[in-house]
Amino acid sequence: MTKPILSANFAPPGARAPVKASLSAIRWRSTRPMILAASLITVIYLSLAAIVIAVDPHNIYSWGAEPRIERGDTPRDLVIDWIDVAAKDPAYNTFLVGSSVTAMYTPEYMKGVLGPDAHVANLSYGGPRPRDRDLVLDRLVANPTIQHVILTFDWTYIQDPEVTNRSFPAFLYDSDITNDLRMVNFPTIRKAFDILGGNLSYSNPDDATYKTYVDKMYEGFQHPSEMTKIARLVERHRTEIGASSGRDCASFHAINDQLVPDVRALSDRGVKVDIMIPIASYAFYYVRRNDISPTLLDEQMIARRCLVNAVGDLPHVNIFAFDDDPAVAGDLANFREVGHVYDPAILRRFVTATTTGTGRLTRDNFPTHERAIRSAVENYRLTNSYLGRATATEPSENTRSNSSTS
Amino acid sequence: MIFTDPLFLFAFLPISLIAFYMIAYFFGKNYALAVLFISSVVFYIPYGIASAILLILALVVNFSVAAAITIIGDDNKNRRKIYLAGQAYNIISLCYFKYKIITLLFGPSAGIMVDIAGIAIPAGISFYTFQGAAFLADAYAREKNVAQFLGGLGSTKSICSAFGRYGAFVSFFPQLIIGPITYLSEFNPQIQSKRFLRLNPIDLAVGLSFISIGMFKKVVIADNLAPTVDIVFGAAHVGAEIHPLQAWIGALAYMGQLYFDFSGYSDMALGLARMFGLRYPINFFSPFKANGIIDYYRRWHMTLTRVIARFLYTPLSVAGTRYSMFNRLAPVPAHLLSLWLPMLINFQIIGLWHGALWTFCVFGLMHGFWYALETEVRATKWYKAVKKTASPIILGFIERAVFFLPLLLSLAMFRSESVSGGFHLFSQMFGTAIDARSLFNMREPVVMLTVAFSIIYLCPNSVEIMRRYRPAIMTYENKSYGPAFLRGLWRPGWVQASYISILVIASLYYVSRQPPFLYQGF
Amino acid sequence: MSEHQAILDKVTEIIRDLFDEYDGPVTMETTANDVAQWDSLSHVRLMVMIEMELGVHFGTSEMQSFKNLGDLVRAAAKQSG
Repeated sequence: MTKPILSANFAPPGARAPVKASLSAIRWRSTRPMILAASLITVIYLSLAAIVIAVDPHNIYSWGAEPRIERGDTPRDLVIDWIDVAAKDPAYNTFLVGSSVTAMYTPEYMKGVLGPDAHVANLSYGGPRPRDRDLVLDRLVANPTIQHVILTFDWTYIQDPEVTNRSFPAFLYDSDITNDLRMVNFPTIRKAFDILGGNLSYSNPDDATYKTYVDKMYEGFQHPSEMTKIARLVERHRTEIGASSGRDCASFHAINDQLVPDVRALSDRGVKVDIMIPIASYAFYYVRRNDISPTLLDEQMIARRCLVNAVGDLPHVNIFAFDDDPAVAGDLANFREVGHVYDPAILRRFVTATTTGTGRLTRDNFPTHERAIRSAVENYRLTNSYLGRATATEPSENTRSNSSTS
Repeated sequence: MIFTDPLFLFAFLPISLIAFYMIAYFFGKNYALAVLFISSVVFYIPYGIASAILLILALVVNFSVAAAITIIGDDNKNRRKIYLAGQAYNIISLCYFKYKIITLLFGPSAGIMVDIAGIAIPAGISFYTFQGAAFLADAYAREKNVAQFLGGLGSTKSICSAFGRYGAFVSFFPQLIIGPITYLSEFNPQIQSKRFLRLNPIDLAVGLSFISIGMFKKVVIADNLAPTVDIVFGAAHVGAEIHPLQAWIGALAYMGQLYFDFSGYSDMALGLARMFGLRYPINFFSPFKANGIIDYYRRWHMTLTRVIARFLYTPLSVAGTRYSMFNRLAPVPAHLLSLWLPMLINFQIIGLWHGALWTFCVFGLMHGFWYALETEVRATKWYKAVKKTASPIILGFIERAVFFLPLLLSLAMFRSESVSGGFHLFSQMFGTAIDARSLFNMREPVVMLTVAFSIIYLCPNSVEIMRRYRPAIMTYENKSYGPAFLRGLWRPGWVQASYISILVIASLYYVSRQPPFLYQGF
Repeated sequence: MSEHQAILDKVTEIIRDLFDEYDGPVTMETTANDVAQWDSLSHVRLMVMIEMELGVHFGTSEMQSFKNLGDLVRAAAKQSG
């Protein structure tokens, strides 16, 4: 569609006189720096890769070092590299597989809740997605010493099975060995040399930075302008928030093909599995319908129902949810973000449930649970006891009237 | 394997380079080309054994047909039949494996094509099929390179070595997966040259420079724009309210991502081939510096433009022109037949070539109309008069300004996950949702965009930087512009060696990067 | 040679008609690059006009294979001769 047709062609490279020896020498001399640099980078890279693979600092192979997580610290931002280090460590019998909403629980805290015999590794990382979550669970299923798994079940399971957290190093945990070279990065190289120097333990005491981060987030969220914005969204989308998505259980492949088989395998082996549904505020559905799915509420409810139906009756498996309590999910004072609880008492209640059995979802009580949440969300009036006033647009209404099914 | 994979760069590439030059030195051209062929098959195997078998099958079929029509005389009526059978194989395998148009566009209930829905699209199938089809057409037209390239086909040995050469030509790994689609008339003279097979350090240096520039473009720039793009287009797909500024950033980031992704791969392809002493046609020449859609397609994926124009647009246009001229049609229907219809079909095929999605259909429609319209405008007396009187700088500026918005919008449609998602994004870009929830932290994307578009508009492209060493075969004549002080020439030396080291190390850092801060991942 | 010249004269006439802005020389060496208006669309029109004028027929791939006007003239001469 242009004019290549009659345009002059290129000259074939062989058209000139043969190269003289002296010219060749000049060429070699002038290109030496570049060829040297490239060779040097290649040799260094390959040597480092060989060292990293031989040392195996993430314990993904059957050979190499067997590093340990030393102080039981919660390695929040690096935990994704350490899944195997924890999963292959016989000292652990309890694993918390969560997300940003469970990242704050330290192993010591969990021990205090679950009892002295619980040796807990917190494998929570921000924004898990079906595929990486599945890779983590597969690692745990392969662990013979495991006794107890605590698992969060959030909105990510309405997504397709191949959706992956962008930062998650899936190349470490998949079956393809050729992509493992991607682990050759600065932290891993440093760790490999640390191990060679005799330091076999991991620790990542980031509790202080994490606390600052969470506190800042809470302060930023607890702001009247933020509440006004959310209240406006609630009013704008109230009529369509409960709209049907038309989905059924068969369409949740991440649940059916990834989560359920792993939970079954664990249950068959007598492993206690506690599935925790994180507490999302009622405002969450209004705010996140925008970027997750317009029928977020409906899809979440169907996904929960499908999960309860699929694994709720299995031995050793329990499913917990607390967001049908308007004092918890309706009051934004409890949150640092619409989907993230901040209040320490609620956070404690959340994990304590695994020992007391409160908030358990069953086939029998699920319809009531679903009705309660749907109606609470559909009739939600923004409430925030921290800011000391109801920011609802119709203040005369009973602002916590979500239990009265209208 | 992909070019940015360390395993490819640090293991596959050095081994195949050493093997190539060693075998060339001791055993000569045919064995050296066989090394290229075999290493290309090794390169391809990670894409799947079934795909590799299909590739070999396509090579055998095309080679046999090409050999047959070269040997058979012109007066033999079977020659045309054999040729058409060969091309039918190409077209059918392409449609069967790549397009699945019926299945994908109209849902899985469309009948006979359902069985293939489960089969993954073999990587690079359209590229090697186009290259094989062009070779067949050349063989059929008795293009003089073909006979020379195939050589005598009298003995089993000569047939085997001809097949080895053919396999190297079609499947050579730098161009196997994403082009450039090369004609034999570009490849054959080079392998016939006395210089071929001789280790020339300049080739290595030019190749290394291209590889490091390309890798940097792809891994550091394109891949760092990708998260913003994914967020914005994901939100548009679910119909989210997006702040207009963020919608624009998302669309612009995709423009940058697409540009640097493709440009990076194209640079790497040129560089990799050059390390083996081969030059390839240029595929990508600063397309966003174009002054209109016509110019754009001379700079963007040029070898695809060229092959589609050769096999689709030109025959259609010739047929339309013949029909309208012989039947003395009025100017409007004549133009419809000779320009608009062929152009729309042409761009529809280019659109669908990317995959069987409605967004690509809409993209093809947009570019087809646009291209035809621009052709008409540029042919008007009014435009010609303006062109004569207006200052070229001002005119160029206006043309580029007019060009930018439709390009941005059409590429946004191209990226969208659905047609409605695309139109929704448009509505948000020109919308008023200023109180929408912020989808991402703006600082990094804005910095990245500034860097990306500064490079796009101000810097010379890598072919221009290395023009002393004739790095590529020019498909079209292209003008370029940019500040003169940035148009430095490249020559091998310590400074350039440090540049490429920095580029490579930065890329390696990003290849294995773990973003340090995951808390806000939700 | 004179036959070639006769054909070139006719072709020149068509080119002057089609590319009215071009006033440079038209020779056997002229290429599309020499003529600003000569794009792919007008290339097809030129070919079809030459076909009609000279009573010859080019294949589509043949049309694209001409390197300059000389190639075209020789191909036309071969058919009419």
